[in-house]
Amino acid sequence: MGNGLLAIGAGIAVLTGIGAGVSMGLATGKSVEAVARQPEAAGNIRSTMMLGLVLAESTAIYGFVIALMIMFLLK
Amino acid sequence: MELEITPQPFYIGGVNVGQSVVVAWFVTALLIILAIVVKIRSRNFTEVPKGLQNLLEFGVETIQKYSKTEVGHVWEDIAPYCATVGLYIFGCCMIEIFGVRAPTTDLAMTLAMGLGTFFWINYMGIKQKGVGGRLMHLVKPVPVIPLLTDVAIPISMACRLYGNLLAGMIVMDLIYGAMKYFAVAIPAALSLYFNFFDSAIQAYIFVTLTLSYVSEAIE
Repeated sequence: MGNGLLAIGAGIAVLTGIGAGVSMGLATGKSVEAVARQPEAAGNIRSTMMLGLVLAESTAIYGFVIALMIMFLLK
Repeated sequence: MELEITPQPFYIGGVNVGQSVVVAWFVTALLIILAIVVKIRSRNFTEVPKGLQNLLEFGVETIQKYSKTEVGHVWEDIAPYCATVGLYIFGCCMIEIFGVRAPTTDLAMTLAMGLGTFFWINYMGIKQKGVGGRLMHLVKPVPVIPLLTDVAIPISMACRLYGNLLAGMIVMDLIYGAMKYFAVAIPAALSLYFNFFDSAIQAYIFVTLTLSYVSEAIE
């Protein structure tokens, strides 16, 4: 099949980043709103937001790992 | 420009152990030397702490308090594992500063850490509820789906650590390759983010997820 179709496959695999980007932007927006509503809980909200962001980023990481494996381990 | 995804092989007596394992041995030796130094300095610890003892007590109390708020009454078993794994991940990523490829950019090493967490989750569940209670958890809401969730736990933890740190290593390699002989100040400033902040966040997330899954298995 050659290198062209492998490259197209790897490119499609990284499209999972769209979902991660949109969801992380929405989560950060909601947490900023919550801090604006109650500034004393800023530390609590910040650590909860970091936990949620790292968990939501893992689907983008799956796509990235699959794209790397397609590009470098398939002949 | 050379960019390798898998680390280079390293042979000991005909067996290929890989470059990552040897670097991990080196990191482990450094951590053991650090522990021995602290143990020797702890001969003259006083009742009212100052200096090094202050820092150490702050670190130990932070991890113990964090485990206690997340897990509850079994924090004595899980807090040493959390501290060890956190320090190991942080130390493995810090080696990147010296130009050596970090062991956590190898999927086999991060999968080993994920399997360690998987072992602790099941061990705590069996100790709390017995083997029958742990197996009952597999059929509770819907018959087979919790088995898939349980298998996804070590795989997702391995992939998260691997993907984040491999992406950082690729970006740093590209910058070093692009700046060839003028790589003076900018890579150092960027390595503050990729090597210090990212690895600290990943170690913190690993510890937090371990505690959260264990607290879910104990209920």
